[in-house]
Amino acid sequence: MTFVAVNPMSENCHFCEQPITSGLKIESDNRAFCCNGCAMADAMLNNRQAVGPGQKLLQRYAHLVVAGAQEGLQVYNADQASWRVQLPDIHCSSCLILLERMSEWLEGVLDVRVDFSAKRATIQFNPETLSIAVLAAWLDYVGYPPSLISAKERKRQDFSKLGIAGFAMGNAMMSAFPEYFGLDSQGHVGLLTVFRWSTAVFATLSVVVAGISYLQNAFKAIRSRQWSLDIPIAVGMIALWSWSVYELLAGLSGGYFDSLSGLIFFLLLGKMLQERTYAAFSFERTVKDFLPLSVYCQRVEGFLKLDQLVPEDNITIQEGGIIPINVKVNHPISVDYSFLTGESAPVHLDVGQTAYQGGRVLHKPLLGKVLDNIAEQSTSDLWKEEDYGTTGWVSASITAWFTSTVLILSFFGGLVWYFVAPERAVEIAVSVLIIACPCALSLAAPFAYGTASALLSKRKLYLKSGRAVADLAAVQVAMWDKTGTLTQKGLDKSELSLTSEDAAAVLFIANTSIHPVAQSLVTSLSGIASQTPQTFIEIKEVSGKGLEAKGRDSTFWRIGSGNWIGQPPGPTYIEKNGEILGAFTPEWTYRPLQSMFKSLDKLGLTNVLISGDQPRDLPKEWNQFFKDRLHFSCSPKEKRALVEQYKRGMYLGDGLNDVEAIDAALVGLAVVDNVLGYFPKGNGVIFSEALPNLPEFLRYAKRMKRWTKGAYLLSLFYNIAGIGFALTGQLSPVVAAILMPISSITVVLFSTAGAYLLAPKG
Amino acid sequence: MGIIYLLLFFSLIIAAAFLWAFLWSNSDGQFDDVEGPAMRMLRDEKSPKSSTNS
Repeated sequence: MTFVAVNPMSENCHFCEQPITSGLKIESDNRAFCCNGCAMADAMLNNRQAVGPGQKLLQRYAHLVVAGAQEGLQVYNADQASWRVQLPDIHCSSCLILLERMSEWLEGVLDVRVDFSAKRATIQFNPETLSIAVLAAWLDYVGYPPSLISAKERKRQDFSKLGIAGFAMGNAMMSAFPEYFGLDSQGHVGLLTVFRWSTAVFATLSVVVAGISYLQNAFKAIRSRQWSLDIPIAVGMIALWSWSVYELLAGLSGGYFDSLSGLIFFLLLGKMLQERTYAAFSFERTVKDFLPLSVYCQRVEGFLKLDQLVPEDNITIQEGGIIPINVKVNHPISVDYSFLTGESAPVHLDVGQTAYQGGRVLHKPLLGKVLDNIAEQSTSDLWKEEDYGTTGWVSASITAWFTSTVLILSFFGGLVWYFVAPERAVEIAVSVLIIACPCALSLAAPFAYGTASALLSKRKLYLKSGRAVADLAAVQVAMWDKTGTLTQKGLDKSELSLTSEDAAAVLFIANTSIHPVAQSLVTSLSGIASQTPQTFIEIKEVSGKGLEAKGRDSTFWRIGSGNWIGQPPGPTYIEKNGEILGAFTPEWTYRPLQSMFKSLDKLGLTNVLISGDQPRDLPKEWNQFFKDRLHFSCSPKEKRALVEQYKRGMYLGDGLNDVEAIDAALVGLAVVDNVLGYFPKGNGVIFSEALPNLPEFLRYAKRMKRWTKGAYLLSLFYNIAGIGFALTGQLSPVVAAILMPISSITVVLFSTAGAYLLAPKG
Repeated sequence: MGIIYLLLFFSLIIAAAFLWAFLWSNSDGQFDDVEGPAMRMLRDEKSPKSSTNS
């Protein structure tokens, strides 16, 4: 006999399967939903709502037809485009589900990715079947009208609002002063009335012009039955205003109009100040600085960091490499944009066409000219692909719980005060509503971990997201790839005696490949080759065999294995026009990591070796670190399976043949000797020279986790103390509005300072 | 005390004029970048070409 636990009191949403808060239930087609978004999403995905945007909506967005004229719109190809658009109405997880599954209910949409915290979506679509105007109309129709004004425009609007709020506050306070200073109603009735009414007019102006966004947001949240943090503020504003109007009309007093206008001004000012602070500490915006991206640039005949490239620079990107910057290609080539668009069919480009950043180069290396300055392109989008931004740290249910608690506390606080001192009841209820803000709660973790990852990047561990730091703190198992990770490749230079002209050519050819052998050749030749190499018509990588190149002076080059070139197997040969210039055998040596393994042992980590090689030549002294947890001859798939066995595991590999394993691990890191390119999978990249510091990094991550808990406690303390002061009548709404942003900012400072203080030296 | 009404009226007009001046300069874009122009004015303009590049 089986039992199914059924709780008759709680019902789950038909769509998102979250329990429905009683009183917020929406029924449609005999199904119960927790919010309108879910009901809509369900109807859309099950095709039960076959209508669409009407003429009116289509008309509204008809002007969007011109491709490229819209900010954030990028057209890759005739049938592939992406639109990064601000959708201010995104508010809950069902929004995310509905939008990210857009390709299932709207033809022409390829993929949608939502950045929840930024309220922004990146939509990949096919402009042939779906015009941008229709797409915009659909977005509006399902409840997310795209915001088409630019960031600059929005900033100006905010400034204007702040200016008006400041003007209103100054004048409202000015005209409220006489009453404070004892202008009594006996002698100067006329004057008093004028001052009271002028205060009221200014405060009302402030509400209508500057405070309206809080009311609108709260209204939207209520309409879609979501708890939002704007609700308490909106309730507070309405309560203060209507109570003041009552007192004014009844002739009791001038009301709280001066407080109200001050409140709005300080709310807006605080919001702006907060945004400034966040921008100053923003770890996201500096992503470019710590991306270890560099490309081979002909101008300097070597690798250059992306931000040092200038337009018209000739660059080479290896086969299989990801294009880091928009380039005009010098020869026909295929590019795979699946990483961006989810569409796996490669795009063929002709000479002079643009290859967009984020595409993967297929079949042969790409030679091209840099189009624009890196500063004008956002690389962060690619790198951050799997980052969850600031969401995911504080869930919607906590927000709901918090908001409702604040509303209840404020109501009962006001009620109690009504019996003690009726004239203060409204004021106190409002200050409770204003002071309580879980913002600080939601900011602690993103800022602590975000800063930590930025600091780690200075120590040559480049993590993609702040979240990875939290994951790093949880790591208990370290899994190691052998070749290229524990070992490094050395090359005896004496084996090669090339003329400097030949060396330059070989260096150039080898540079087009990310194969370890080719790269070891690059390392050893970089010192010798001083000449500008000849130009090549074609360079091709023959997978598993070697490299083939045709020079403009009709030379023919091959660098590769013995069987391929027709020589005894073993070393790698360099051949020019059928003549062997030299052969070399890269040697594998173990990196000096013994002391690092000892420290890892001390930290209590389990080390596991997962190698694709034959079980041979692991030095005896290394065995003690792995204690027979050795896996040899693993295929990439077997590696993945092994990694999946170890929960809370970290995988370190060279990022070439173990992409799968890196992806599967809780923390997957690619170990690199020099900077090469993107590693789309995994959580980050670590430079081999930083490997000895890995135990330090882990310890740092653990400490940061504890520090973040401290930051949580701090913000909890702020809220409890703030509400306590407000309830006991020691805070006026204006002071509350000033204190609220200060508490958020101190939590941010605390988190950031912790990340700096605890950071490993060096 | 009747003079107060007049003073109130004039002070409001002056305040409103300043508000208008702020709103106008804001919508004109004068607050878009508050640091750049200060640095730019200190730089010598050697040739029109170099000033457009950077």
